Amino acid sequence: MIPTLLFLIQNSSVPQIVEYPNQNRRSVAIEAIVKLPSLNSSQRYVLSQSLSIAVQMTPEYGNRDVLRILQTGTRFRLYQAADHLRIGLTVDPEDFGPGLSLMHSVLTNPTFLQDTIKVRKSSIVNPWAPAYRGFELQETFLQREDIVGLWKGIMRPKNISVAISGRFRANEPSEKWRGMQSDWDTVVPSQLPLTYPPKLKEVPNTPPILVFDSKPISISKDTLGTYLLAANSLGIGKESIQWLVAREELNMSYRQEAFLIPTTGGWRFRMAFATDNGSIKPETIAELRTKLRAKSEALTQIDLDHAIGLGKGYLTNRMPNLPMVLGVGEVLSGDANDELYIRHYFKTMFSFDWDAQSLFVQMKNTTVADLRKLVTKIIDESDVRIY
Amino acid sequence: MIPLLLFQTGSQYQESNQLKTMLSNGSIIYCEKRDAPYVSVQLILSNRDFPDQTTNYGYRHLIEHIAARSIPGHDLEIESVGGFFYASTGRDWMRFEWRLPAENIGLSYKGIAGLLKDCGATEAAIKRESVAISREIDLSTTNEIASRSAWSSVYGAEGLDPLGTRESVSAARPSDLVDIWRKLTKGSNVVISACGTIDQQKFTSSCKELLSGIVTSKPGPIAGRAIDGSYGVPGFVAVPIPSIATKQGANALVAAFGLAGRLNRPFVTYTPSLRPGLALVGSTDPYESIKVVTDVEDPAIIYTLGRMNALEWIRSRLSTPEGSAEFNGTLLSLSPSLRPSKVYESIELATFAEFKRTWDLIKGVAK
Repeated sequence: MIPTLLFLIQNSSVPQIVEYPNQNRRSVAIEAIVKLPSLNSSQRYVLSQSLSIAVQMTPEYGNRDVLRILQTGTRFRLYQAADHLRIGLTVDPEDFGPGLSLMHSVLTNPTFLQDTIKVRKSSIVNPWAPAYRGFELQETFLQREDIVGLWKGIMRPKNISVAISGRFRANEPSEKWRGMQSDWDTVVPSQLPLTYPPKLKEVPNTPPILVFDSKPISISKDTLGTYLLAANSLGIGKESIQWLVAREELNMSYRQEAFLIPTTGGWRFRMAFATDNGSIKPETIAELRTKLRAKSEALTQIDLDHAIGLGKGYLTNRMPNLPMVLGVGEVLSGDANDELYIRHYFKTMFSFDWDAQSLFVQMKNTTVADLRKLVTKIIDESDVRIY
Repeated sequence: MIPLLLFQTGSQYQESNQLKTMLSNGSIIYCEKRDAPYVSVQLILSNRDFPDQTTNYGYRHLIEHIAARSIPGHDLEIESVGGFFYASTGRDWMRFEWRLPAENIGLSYKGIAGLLKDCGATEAAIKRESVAISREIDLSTTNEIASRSAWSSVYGAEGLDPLGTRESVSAARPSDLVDIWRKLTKGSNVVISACGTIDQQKFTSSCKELLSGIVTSKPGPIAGRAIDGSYGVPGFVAVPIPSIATKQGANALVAAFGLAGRLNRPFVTYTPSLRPGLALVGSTDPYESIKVVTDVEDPAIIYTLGRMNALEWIRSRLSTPEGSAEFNGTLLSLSPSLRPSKVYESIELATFAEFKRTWDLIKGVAK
């Protein structure tokens, strides 16, 4: 039996909306961050399936209406992270009202048409995907009542925060948003029912992904820049420690990266390596750790400058290398929609403003000794997992 | 030197601030000035007149791996100033890209000079990078694997994957790679394309100097590619696209983008080519059925949607410095007169009757 999850009773309120008017944009981005409670691996699976069905249709908006409202060539941006859901969309400036209404409709009352709920599995497999996942998934059979129960249980106003950015008059989105708030289901489910047995998991025939996961780390505006700098040093580019050790010295990996990621146990610093079955023996992993540590202890001012340069690349020059796995599925790019999302994520989840300039200053204030100390600590204390 | 005048085909797309220079050795320099936090400089080496053969496919990919690492300390230098260096290989080209703060554009000149001098092919480099390529292939997504199957199904032996296989690349010898490199770096196969905050005259002048030593050549005839079959599996279809320089090519693209416009969580993979190619269209949503969409949807709506999405695809590709340098440079590497505006115009003028031919083809393979 899969355990069900009890929800705390919450008072009904209005999900907050934050406006970022920007007259220079030729579109309007709307991003919702939905904080997630603790979910088991089966509920994670049901939620992942629910996301793609929820945006297909609502009682107010049919499939074609949805396509008509979204800006041509765009789709909903959907992502489940360990700690939140991202639901984002982009509309033309004149459609920001319908865009907000569509977002509200998806959050409060998706149709979840019975015909679309079939036990089908995506045929898309990406061997690297486990490196970017911060939670476990267990496939289960799907039933509409489970999907609806889970959705309604999670979509409480208190859990949701919406941000809107683009060409509109200040306060206009907030007024429209407040006018839409009568549809929240005030009956709070007491549990998330999920009573179906799990399906047998198919074991994919893909190369193993070796992961070094740090203990949970504390994310704040004072620590983030230094952690990003450590990720630059360990895992970005062809001069990184992971590249030099795993690819060049041990010849055990084609792809290796370091990044920060939210997991069910909190944010972690992760080093990931795509490798082969011959390289996941305990002695090989121990050798890898020893060599990573040795390289870290030997970091020089040139290496620090290199790591700061990489930070300058993604923080001020819009290089797509930001070593943080959030709602774009992979490492973030400099896309304006993603920028709104990341800004809103940190504001909602950590109550601080994402400030690229301040993060860069933190990097520049880091000494070689600081960097060595942090990187070796991460390597020493990481737990190894193989996916 | 041919300065490109402001060219407007519609209200939302313009070609301006662009300079295209054709050198007497056959190479082309393209640069576009726009405000951006960085500049993208791309060296594009075309193999349009010597497509991969069964005896050497994957070799260009191997060269790309080796050449990208052939200049000692280059990545460190670029990354330390806040830039990044990329390399990739397609069916019709090999591409090296320097994404740099404008004040460090000189690093791209240094890189281009180094690459044009020597690709770095040695026994040791081949051995090392063959292993890397083998591992790279192991990391293919199911989409990439399906793409290879589609090319093979539709074009048979002419649909060879430029990535190669572990067997095909491990057979390479340094002399094989050097021979291919010589062909790739002949005048008519070389394009340097850039976009960003850039001094056009200075950039062009620097590139002229870099390209002054390469061998003069004229482009040879473009090899055809005969359709040998079709490909459609649940969630994925391959749409044959004739030359992008033709109206038929634009019409076929409209059909591909029209289908994508009706799919939930769609993807379209297409690289412009003068040779017949493929647009791979599918959905990452396991609940989506391409067959239901093609059976139920009104082709007239798909046609309208397809034109809108295909035009948006071009605008979107041109919206970033790297996208513009890539799209413009790729088209110029196919034909010195091929411009995004021409493709845009062909899509705008796509007719329903011609679109319908490709749509019927898609219907025939959808599952």
